[in-house]
Amino acid sequence: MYEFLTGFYERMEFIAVVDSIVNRKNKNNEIEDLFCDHELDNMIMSVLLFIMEKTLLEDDDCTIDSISDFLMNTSEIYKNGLSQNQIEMLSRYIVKDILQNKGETRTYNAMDFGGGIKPLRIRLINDKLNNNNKVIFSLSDQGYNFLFRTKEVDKELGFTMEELKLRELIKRKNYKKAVEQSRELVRMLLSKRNDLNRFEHSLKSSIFSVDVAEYESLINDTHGILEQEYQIMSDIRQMIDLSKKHLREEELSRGFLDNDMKTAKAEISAISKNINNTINFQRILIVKLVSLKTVYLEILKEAFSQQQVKRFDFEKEILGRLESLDDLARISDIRKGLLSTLFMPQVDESLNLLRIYDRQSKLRELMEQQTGYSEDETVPDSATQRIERKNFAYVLLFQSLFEFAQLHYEGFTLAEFFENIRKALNFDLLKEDRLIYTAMLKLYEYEIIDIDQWKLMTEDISPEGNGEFDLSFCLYSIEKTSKNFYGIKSIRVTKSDDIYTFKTQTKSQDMLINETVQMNDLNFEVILSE
Amino acid sequence: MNEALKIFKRLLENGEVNDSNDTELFLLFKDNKIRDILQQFETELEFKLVETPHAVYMVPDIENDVLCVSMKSIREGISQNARLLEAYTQCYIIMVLLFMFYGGKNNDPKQRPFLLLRDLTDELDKRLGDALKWENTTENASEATLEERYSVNFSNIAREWADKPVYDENRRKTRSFIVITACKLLEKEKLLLIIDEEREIRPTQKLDDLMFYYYLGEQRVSEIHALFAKGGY
Repeated sequence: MYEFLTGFYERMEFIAVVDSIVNRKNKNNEIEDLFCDHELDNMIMSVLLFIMEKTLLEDDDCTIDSISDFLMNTSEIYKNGLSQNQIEMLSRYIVKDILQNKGETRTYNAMDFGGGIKPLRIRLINDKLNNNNKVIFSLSDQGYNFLFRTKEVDKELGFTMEELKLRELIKRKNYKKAVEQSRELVRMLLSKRNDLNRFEHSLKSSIFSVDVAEYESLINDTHGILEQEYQIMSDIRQMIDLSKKHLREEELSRGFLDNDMKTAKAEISAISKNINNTINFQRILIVKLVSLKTVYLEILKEAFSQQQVKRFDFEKEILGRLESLDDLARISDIRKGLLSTLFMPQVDESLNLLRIYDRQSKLRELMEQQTGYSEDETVPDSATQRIERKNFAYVLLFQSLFEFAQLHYEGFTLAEFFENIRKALNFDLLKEDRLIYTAMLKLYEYEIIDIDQWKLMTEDISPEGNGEFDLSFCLYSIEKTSKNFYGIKSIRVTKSDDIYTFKTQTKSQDMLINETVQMNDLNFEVILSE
Repeated sequence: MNEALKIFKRLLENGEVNDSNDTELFLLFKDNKIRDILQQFETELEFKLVETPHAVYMVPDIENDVLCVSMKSIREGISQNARLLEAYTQCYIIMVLLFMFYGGKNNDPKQRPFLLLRDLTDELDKRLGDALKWENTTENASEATLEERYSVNFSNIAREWADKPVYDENRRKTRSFIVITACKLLEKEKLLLIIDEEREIRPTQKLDDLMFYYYLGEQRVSEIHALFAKGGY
């Protein structure tokens, strides 16, 4: 029909977003009346920008409290004299009622000249729970698109622009700005990784909350970025290497480095680190894309079969029947019927099948225990202690490994390391449950302990160890003792052809137990931090 | 058999076996032989295995008195001397809550990722308020069919609800206290998360799974009809 109307539906998305901010649903007049004309529109927009900033910075969790703080600070400029309570109420109103539409999907009807009026879904922010069950907000792709279009360049060009800037800055030896620029690249990839993680999370929680267009655009965008950038990033790395070489040559010829050159050297090293991180991230994202595709297809398949499932009318069959319930005495059974299928199974004590697994004892002993101090009460304690002991042992083992690696940075074998730590005071603890072997085998599976990589993935840390081997938890604990990890950048583990025989002796109730373990020796290659 | 028993034991303890906390057991469950044994248990011991891509749950049959949660423990969820009307109110609140999360009539039953507790209270105000309004209009009462009318019991709940203050220094008497108590019961059963200083609730993966893969299934209608048969319309 009219060529200029092609893509009209997509253009309307911008209007739909503005509409969601300006023509607010769920209006609360008590709050709205606190502001003069358009003041609240401005505040909502500034909250969106605050969430974007927090999302890009990554280090800070964007919570309702941090949004309140932000509003409190900007409120001084607005001079609207809001109290702390009003600010808290306002931040919840902006985030929950307006930007998240109280959790309900907000749509806007827009004309698609190929297919008639269609709803556009508006979701400017996403949220998730962190480990402390606090809600963390982040900007959605739609949110980014909108905010970038209000000021920054088009998002599609974003990455390339940043990268071009970086290349030009390095060419002009403007390292100071280049450091910032290289940080920006890492941030953009971090944001893409977050998008992928968030998408995977929404997929797993409910495929219905995800539309195919979003999936395709995310996958294609990320693929696009990665394919385009991988080669250019390697080029930039070469330029950096060249800059390093020039500096070295100048240092040799002059015999010293002046202050400017020292700064340049530090800046080049920071850029180099960021570039390496960027390239590592690109690799991680490529792997992530492949796994995401598999997850998506699996869940999609499952969702198709679920779509065939017919569901009853909850309001009519349950609420309606409850509202017209005549025989009050029946409520106990009805309540039990409606709830018990969702609740945890509870086994009648007299028929408890779990008892089969309990330590067997004479009936009389059992009866005595039941009347006296309940055995059950002691179980959780001992389990917690056991977990704590194992966590401690794993951390101890890795601390010893790092200390040993610091002294033997030229490389060492597992045999040498074991022979060294067997004299340690806590060695018995390490032998318990053979955790020393488990940890080493796991380490061999991982191939490398890469501190930089781990730092980038800090959100995967589990500060609460669970008694199982968790490298991330061990590194987290070591960092508390030695911030620079004993000056170690990475430790690579490879298998040796030599067989190592490890003999230990344990004393248990006046019995001496000899244990011999034979395994392939391992080689540890240590790389120190620059 | 040993593996099947291990899975069964975990199901009895946790109500579920999933791929993140019980990876090994979850993989074992995928083995056809082990699954066959568990399916025999399912028939003999009157429960259902609800399978999702990431977890398997044990759901006792409604009539199952051995595995079902006992009335005593349900009552403990409210208070030691729970009265029938209180039980009725709590059950109704939980069902309205489930309806607000999963009341979608299309293929996508889930309506929202979170719910503000004040919105749940508002919805209850509206529904119970409607019952009071309806009762006051005698014309409606005389013309209504059995399916359309509210029961006397429900009107009693509505009246008690309307009498409860939204705010009271003795917090136990307020509507929001009753709502949060109902939510806490679900939280205890790992079905709900109560966050943001008791302002917001979110369903857990377990609740999502049980609702999608079991609770809302049309085949359950006859079960629900039977449940209400003697007391409802």
